[in-house]
Amino acid sequence: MKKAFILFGVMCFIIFACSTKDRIQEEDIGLDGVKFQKLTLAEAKELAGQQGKLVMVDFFSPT
Amino acid sequence: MKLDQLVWQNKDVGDYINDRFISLRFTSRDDEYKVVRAEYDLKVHPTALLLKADGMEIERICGFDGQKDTYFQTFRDFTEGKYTLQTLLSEYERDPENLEMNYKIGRRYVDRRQEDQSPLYFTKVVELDPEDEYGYKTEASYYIASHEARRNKNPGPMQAFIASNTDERFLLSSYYDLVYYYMTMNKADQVISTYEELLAKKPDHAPLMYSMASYIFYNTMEDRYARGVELTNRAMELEPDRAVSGYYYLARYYTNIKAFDKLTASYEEALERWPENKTLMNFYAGDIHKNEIDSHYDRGIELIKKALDTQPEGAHFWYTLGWLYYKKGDKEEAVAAAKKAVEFMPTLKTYKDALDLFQKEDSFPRI
Repeated sequence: MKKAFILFGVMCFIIFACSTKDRIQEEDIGLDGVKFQKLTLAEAKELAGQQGKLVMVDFFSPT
Repeated sequence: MKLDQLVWQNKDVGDYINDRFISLRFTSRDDEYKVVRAEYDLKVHPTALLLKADGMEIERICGFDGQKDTYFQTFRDFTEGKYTLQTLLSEYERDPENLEMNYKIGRRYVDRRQEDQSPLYFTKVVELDPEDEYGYKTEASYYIASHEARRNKNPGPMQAFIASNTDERFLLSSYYDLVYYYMTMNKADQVISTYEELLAKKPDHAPLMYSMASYIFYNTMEDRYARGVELTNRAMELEPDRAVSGYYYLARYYTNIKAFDKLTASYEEALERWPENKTLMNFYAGDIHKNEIDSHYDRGIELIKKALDTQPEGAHFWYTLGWLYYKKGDKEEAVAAAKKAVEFMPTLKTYKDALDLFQKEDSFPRI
C-alpha cells in the first residue's frame, strides 16, 4: 500500500513536471511582447474558449 | 520581421494581446499552414487574423507599412469590433445608398487584399458623387479600372484613367496594372512601351528600372539587352545601398549570353560589397551549378557552408549544396545535403525530387 502511494506520488510529480516544461516551451517567443504558443488552431480555439479569450494567428514569412 | 520587431515584441502590444488572445503563428513550413490559409482565404504575408473562440473571423490586418502605432490602433479597433468588414456591411444593409459606407467597404476589401469584391462599392461611390464633392472619385475610379485590367482583361478603363489622372498616388500602380495586363496577354512590345512611358514620368525610379530590366532579361529579349543593362547600371548608381538587386539581374543577363567569366566576376564583386549576404551566396552558388561552371563548384560549396554556419536550418542552402555535390559527382554528400533540405522543408516537392534523383545510382554523373 505504501509502495503504491509512493509510486502514485512519483507519477504525479512526473506529470506535473512534464506539463510545466511543455508550457514553458509553448511560450518561448519574446519576453516582453506577444506570447506565441506552439498550438494547432483547434487547440488554440479550445483554450480560448476555456479562458474566455479570442485567437490571433500571425501568418508570416521567415526571412 | 519588421512587424515582429516593431509590434509583436513591444511590451504594450504584448500586454494588450496576451490579456485578450491566445496567439499562434504559422509559416509555410508548418503542417497546418495550407489548410488554415485556404479556410480563411488568406492572400498575403504578413497577415494577422483575429478570430473568436469558435473560429469565426473578427477581422484581419494584411501587410505592415512600418507604422507601429497605427497598426496597434487598428488591432485594438478590430478587437473591439470597430470598423470591421462585418460591422461595415451591417451598416450598409441599413443604408445601401450611403456614400461613406460604400467607400469604406470598398477600401476594407482593398486592405484585406480582396480587391475583387471592391468594384461593386466603388462603382456606387462614383454614381453617388459624380461631381466628386467628397474626394473619393479618383481612388474609386482607379480600383474599378484596376479590376477591369487585371481580372476582366479589359485595359480600356485603365488607359482612360492614366490619360486623365494627375494624382501621384496612383501613377505607378496604374501603369503597373497596365504592364501586368500586357504581360498576361504576352504583348511584349506593349509591356516595354508602357514601361518606357512611365520611366519618362519617373526618370529616377530605381525599382521601376529593375522591373523593366528583369522583364527584358527573363524574357530573353536579345535586341533589348543593352537597354536592360543600361537601366540596371543606372538603378545601381541611384540606390547604391540596394544595388545587390542589380547584381541579380546582371547575373541573369550574363547567364543568357553565356558569359560565365563575367557572371562569376560580377558575383565576386557583389560579395566584396556584401560579404555576409546569404541570399547573394545562394544565388551565386545556384548559378554555378545551374550553369555547370565546374571550375567554381568548390567556391559554391564554400559559400553555402558559410551561409549554413549562421543558418543551419536553411533548407534552400542544403538544396543548393546538394546540387553542387551532385554536379561535382559526390553522391554521398549530395544525398546527405538533400536529406537535410527535405528534413527542414518536408512539404516542398522540389527538394524531394532532388533527393530522389541523387539517390538513383544510374542518374549520377560520371566524372
